Amino acid sequence: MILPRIARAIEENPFYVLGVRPECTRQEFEREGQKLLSMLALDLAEVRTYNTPLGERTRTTELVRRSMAELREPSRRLLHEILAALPQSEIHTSQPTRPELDDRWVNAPALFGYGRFREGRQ
Amino acid sequence: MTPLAPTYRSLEPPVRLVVLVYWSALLLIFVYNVRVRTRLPVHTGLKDREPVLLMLFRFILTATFFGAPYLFVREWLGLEILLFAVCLLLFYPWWTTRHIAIPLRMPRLAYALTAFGGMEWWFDKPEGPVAAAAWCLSRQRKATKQSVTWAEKQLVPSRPLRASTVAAHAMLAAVRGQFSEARMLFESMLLLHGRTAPVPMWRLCFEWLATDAAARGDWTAVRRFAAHYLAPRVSTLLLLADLAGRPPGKRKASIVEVFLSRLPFRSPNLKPILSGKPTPRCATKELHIVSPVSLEGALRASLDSADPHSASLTVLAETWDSILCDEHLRQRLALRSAALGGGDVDTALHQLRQLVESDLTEAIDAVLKNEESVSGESPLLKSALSSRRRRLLTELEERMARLDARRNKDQALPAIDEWKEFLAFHRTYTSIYAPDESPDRTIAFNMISLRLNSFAVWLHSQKKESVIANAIFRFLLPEARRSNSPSLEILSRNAKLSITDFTIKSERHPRSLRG
Repeated sequence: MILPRIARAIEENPFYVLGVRPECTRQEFEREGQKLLSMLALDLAEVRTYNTPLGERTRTTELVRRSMAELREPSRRLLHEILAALPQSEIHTSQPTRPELDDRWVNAPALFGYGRFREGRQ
Repeated sequence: MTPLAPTYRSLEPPVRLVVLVYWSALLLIFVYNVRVRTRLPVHTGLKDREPVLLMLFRFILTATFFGAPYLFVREWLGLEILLFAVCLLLFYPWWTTRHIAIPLRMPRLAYALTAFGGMEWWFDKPEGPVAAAAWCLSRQRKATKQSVTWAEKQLVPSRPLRASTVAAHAMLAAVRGQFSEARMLFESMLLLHGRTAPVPMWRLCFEWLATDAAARGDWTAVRRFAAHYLAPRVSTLLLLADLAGRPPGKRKASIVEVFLSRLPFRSPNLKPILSGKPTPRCATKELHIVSPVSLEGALRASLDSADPHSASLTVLAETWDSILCDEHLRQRLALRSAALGGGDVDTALHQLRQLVESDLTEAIDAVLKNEESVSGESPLLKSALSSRRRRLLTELEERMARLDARRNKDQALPAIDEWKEFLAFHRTYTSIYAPDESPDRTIAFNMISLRLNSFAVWLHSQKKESVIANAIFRFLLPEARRSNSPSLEILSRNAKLSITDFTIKSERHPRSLRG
């Protein structure tokens, strides 16, 4: 099962956002952060996204600044180091088991006179 | 009626026989209607809006119907047939609404016809007619805003609630495309007393719920609705229950089956209700269990989007327990902390623990929703369960305080809003213990029982909301029985009286509810 807060913490992990290793020094992530901010200011396509274990995500200047701020705080950085244990490449998780499309009789209400025909009734 | 006797004598013998059979049939129908009076919806203190006008119109209709054979003597056969047809349709206004006005999608006609209904519709106007009009609107390709507003305006917010009120609001929500709201309201009707709405309203409720569940692929719910004690044994529900028993992927009826189920009479070819063996719950799929207790394994398991199950939740919680107590991780973090020149290991681990715990609390909700139970020795899981329980008990207390405040100020909400407030309260209460028999159930019951009972008594006696009050007593009653509460007798008495005391006004010493 997916744990949403953990997933979000991984998605927005500063090490993934800045593209640096968890063992990097402060100078390294500061330099990388400044570089990314400059490139984002120039709207270069190559830095608009970054990889996470959950797939590609959009990188913004705000996210970069926030990541740098998080890494400057040692206790927060320790937490992010724990959460950056997974490789940046996308992991494959099992799909949620929802009712098979064939098993849904979407037009049942309309056929029995309880509404109009519609697709993707929620 | 005076000219009927000479008219009858002047008829030809074969026609006399027809007229005699025809009048006898009417008499039988009348006797039948009187006989089923005990099953009619109960009077809850509501009044029909224009009873005199309605009675007058019905009298004219009856006179026309009985006098129609006179036209045959005058050889006005066409007019006679027309009158017969119109009279028959108006004698059974709900049948006409259900099989003519609703399929033709004519909301105002459906409203007028239902409003003309007597006997079982007597106390359900205008809510029943509005539900019929909204039903028409829900079938229109695109209901106009004016029509929806017109239907909404027919409802009188100050009238006490009945099951038809809930059905009307649910149907209007469906017209607006708010299916979750409609589903919630229709499902809430199952908490009400069966005699607080005419039978057609219950049929509407169950058929809507069952077809909606079929549309969502929730066949377990279809079975539940079809097997409910209030569900009528009608072809639609029989068919859907039959489909629910079929294997996954084969749960669509042929057009012939649908056609047969929509006939106004029961199709003889349909299998009896729930004859099919209940399909086993979704085969227990192989659980994604994280075998190695490693940080990476715990993170991977936390991102696995498979449906939550009790077993996988326990395993996940135990994995995180191991991680958070792992000495190697602690040492590694201590080294990193020294290298960074700051940072508290305990703080970092505590933050991580809080993240996991709050996520587990939500996962527990999802597991309990699937009617599984959650238990285990994992400290993290216990802590998550405990924090969830605290949250829900606080929420329950807040909701109860809101009910108390309204009672103390003697300010009730409009009937439907009061009902929705109770539904929210009911949802919180049932979430606390669902589905196991935990001691939390008794704690929650002891917290609310007396106050909720007093609230219901106030609703009944001061605000004349006997239907809501009855639903509250009926909700409290099994809980009291389960907890062996001393208030069992009072609740039982209140549950009985709340719905019937409008019919026992003639008693010399009218009984009253106890707070």
